[in-house]
Amino acid sequence: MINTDSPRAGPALALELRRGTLVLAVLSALRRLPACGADLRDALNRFGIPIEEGALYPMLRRLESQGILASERRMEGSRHKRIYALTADGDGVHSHMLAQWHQLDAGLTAILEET
Amino acid sequence: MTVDLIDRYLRKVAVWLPTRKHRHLLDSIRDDIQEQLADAPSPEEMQAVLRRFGPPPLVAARYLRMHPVIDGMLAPTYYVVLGLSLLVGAIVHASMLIRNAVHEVPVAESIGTVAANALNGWLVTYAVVTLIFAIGSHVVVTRVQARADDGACRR
Repeated sequence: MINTDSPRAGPALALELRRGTLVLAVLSALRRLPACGADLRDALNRFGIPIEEGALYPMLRRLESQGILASERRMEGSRHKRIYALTADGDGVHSHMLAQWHQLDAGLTAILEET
Repeated sequence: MTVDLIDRYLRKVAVWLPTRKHRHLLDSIRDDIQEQLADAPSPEEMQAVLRRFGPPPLVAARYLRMHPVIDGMLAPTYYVVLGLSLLVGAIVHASMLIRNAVHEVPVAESIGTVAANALNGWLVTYAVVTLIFAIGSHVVVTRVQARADDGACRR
């Protein structure tokens, strides 16, 4: 069990913070442009948000099962690719998450500036 | 060769999946792996893709959306109930020691019998309390998840 009072808990807490943020990053990237998992991973990597394939693909499947994403299989070259896009509901979820993100960011900035 | 490697990998993942979800999840995982492969991947490239995708138990957990056996919300209650149940068991067995002493049962025999009964009792108590809370956790998590999914779809 992790002792959250210990500085050793730092990486675990950072991972927790990152997990929620990754969903927002994925939705933001897909809002710009529908993409398959590999292209999405490359796009996030370009923006300095690396994500493992083993975490990204199950996340996309989960978001699709929640109705936030929709996908269709397309043939590209000789390979099938599953292209993901935001649904109308997903667009609403993204706006809601983004508003929360901005609110948290503003609050955190204010706290840090005051201290 | 490539198909063999994927099949072997999927068989290892399948070990960690419940039977009723096997086919659907394995098809999804196969699609997701194949999407990452070049047209004619070498065995080394194939192995690198599978290594990056993760060890089979982790892959199974990620696709299954596994929840902890005891949900964090119920954990404090679980520990209190478990502690009290074990304490009551200890008191009951301690009283058996007194009863045996009154009936002049030899001390070594009395301690041996009571210790064996106490151990059995604690194991059963632990199993029963954990099972009840695991079922409770499953119900709570399923309801919270359904509400969250419903909320996500309405927004």
